[in-house]
Amino acid sequence: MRFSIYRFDPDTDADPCMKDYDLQIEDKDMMLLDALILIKAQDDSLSLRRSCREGVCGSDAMNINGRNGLACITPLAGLKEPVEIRPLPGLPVIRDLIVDMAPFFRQYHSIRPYLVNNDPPPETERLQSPDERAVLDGLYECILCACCTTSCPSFWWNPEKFVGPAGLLQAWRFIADSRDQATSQRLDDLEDPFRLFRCRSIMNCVDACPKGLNPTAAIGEIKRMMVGRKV
Amino acid sequence: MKPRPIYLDLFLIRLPLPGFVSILHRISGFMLYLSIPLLLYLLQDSLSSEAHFSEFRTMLSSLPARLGMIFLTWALSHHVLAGIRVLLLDVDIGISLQSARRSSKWVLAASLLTTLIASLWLA
Amino acid sequence: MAGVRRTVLGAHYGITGWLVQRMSAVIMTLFGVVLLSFILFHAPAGFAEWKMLFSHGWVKIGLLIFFICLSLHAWIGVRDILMDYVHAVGIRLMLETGVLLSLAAYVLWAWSILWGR
Repeated sequence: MRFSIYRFDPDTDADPCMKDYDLQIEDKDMMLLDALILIKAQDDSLSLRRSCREGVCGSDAMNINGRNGLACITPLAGLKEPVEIRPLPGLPVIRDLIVDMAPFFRQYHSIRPYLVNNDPPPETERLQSPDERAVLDGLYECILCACCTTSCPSFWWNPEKFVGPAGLLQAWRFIADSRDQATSQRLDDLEDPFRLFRCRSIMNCVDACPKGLNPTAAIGEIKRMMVGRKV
Repeated sequence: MKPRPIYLDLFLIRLPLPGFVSILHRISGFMLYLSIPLLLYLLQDSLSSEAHFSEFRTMLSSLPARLGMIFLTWALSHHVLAGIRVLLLDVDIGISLQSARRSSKWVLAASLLTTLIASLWLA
Repeated sequence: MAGVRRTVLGAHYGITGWLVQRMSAVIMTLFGVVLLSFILFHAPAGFAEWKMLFSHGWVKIGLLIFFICLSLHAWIGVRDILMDYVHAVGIRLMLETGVLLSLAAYVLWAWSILWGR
């Protein structure tokens, strides 16, 4: 099987280039990450991030044949050849398939991804009804892999100003949480033509998410909540 | 230190169908904005006198005018239909990935159909 | 001061424009459908009928409201385009001013067409 991989070494290369590799694939059930590790056995200089190998840590997010995804849960079967592997779009490339995630995490931190509750802590945990807990389904499962945010054109054009799908999904996760008390400050913070309103429901994020989450839906909830308190 | 490269080759990055409908929505909107002065001028001209009205009708049957009308008809139908899709998304209708893909296909098909019908009618 | 480079956010607006863009779209679509049906039903055969169409009060007022909605809708749309792609604040401000002036001019022009001699 033929692979064409984006290579860039900041110490030796002026510009990135694509390098071809051939692999003999015996096992039809292999995942792309397995193939990349085999390629690394051929060429040790290839750099990539990986960890859990089961689609829960988000380390090996990359652009595979034009689409963002996690290498460890992308089956080789069904990938068009040559398999073109590039780093996540829109983020500075440190080396080969490793991108600088700092702009992504800066936006995530900016939405205050923690519960704000100034009531004295109870004896046990802060209780929620099953319905209140159900609201967090589809929100808490985010693994911060950045597949969504780096597939979003609005993020590409304004990465320092637009929070992006992952950050906004987490923002909604905390706004929606019945235990959080900072709702109006969170909405105040997000209501900005750049921070939230760059989103125009392009929906590339929903297409890209390897966990099947829907940032557009979450952002819609935030917008509706803003309307509710404005009109 | 040299700035790090950013991978952003738009020809290689795949654009899903809803994303395609979205960029066309923006392009059609901008085209319509640019055409406002032309349309106002045509309206003014057509109302100014009998002579201008007949000239207006003749001009409309010329090839460049017809092509322009067809393009603007497409721009208007796509923008309105894609806009209705966005309005529905705003109230959570068609927000799932499957329904978003389906509604994108409908918008593309319906706008082409409307353009075809309007073009035939105008001809 | 040269050298102070900060990304400043927190302008705290955005939902009003978002809402205006939606409301104006709905109003324009509804009025557009009504007007289009009316025109198709009473297809003006010649100049006299065409001019008659624009003598109805509801057509004139409706069209003016339509153009006002169009200007508001186009303003938000084009401003979003500028905010996405034009990063230099000075240039963006110039372009936004140009767009606002053009839209104001269109509304006044529409008014003069509808109520002029």
